[in-house]
Amino acid sequence: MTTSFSGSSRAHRDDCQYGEAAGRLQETRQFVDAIGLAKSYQFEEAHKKIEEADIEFVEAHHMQTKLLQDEANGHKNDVSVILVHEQDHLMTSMTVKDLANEMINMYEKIQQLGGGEMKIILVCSAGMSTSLLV
Amino acid sequence: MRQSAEARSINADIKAVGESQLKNHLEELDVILIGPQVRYLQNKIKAQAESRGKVAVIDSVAYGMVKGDKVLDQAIALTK
Repeated sequence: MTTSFSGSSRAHRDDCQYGEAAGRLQETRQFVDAIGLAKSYQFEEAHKKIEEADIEFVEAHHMQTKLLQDEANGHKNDVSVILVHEQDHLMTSMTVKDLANEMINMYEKIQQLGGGEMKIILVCSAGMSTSLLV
Repeated sequence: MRQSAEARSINADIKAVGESQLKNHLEELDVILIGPQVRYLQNKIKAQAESRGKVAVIDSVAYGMVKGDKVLDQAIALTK
């Protein structure tokens, strides 16, 4: 039987998978952070955040592909709850990434449409004390 | 108000002008807020600037306590 996780003992392999799940959780957060950046029109930073999170993410995706290929080749993996959990995080992360990219594009459009800046003017008396509110 | 807008990720251009200067600032505006001490100018300013944006008098409690966030809320409510 082959697995893509290093280590001979099952406990060690489970540790690796648990670490993988935590890694995906981290990337999901980064994708959400990227949406937050786009919300305040920091598009360059938003795209950078997605690229950064993507590096590790692609690796995790390869790992999943390998597990699938192994199984297709007749090498059956034993499925642990932690592996299922990891896969769950991977899928969540993938969905959030796609949506984050869409939403960043939407915020870019919103800014172009001028829905971004609100122009407010305060009219003061001669003393200009109202300007303290600005 | 600017701090509050920044904290809420609202992209807002906020400035204060004297009443006599308003005519020089009537480009595209969303909201024109009048200081409560010059509320008697409301009708005049409405006639002058209503085509440019919403005109209102700043809530005097928010004004008195220098609550920029509340005045920003008022401005946002006016644009809806």
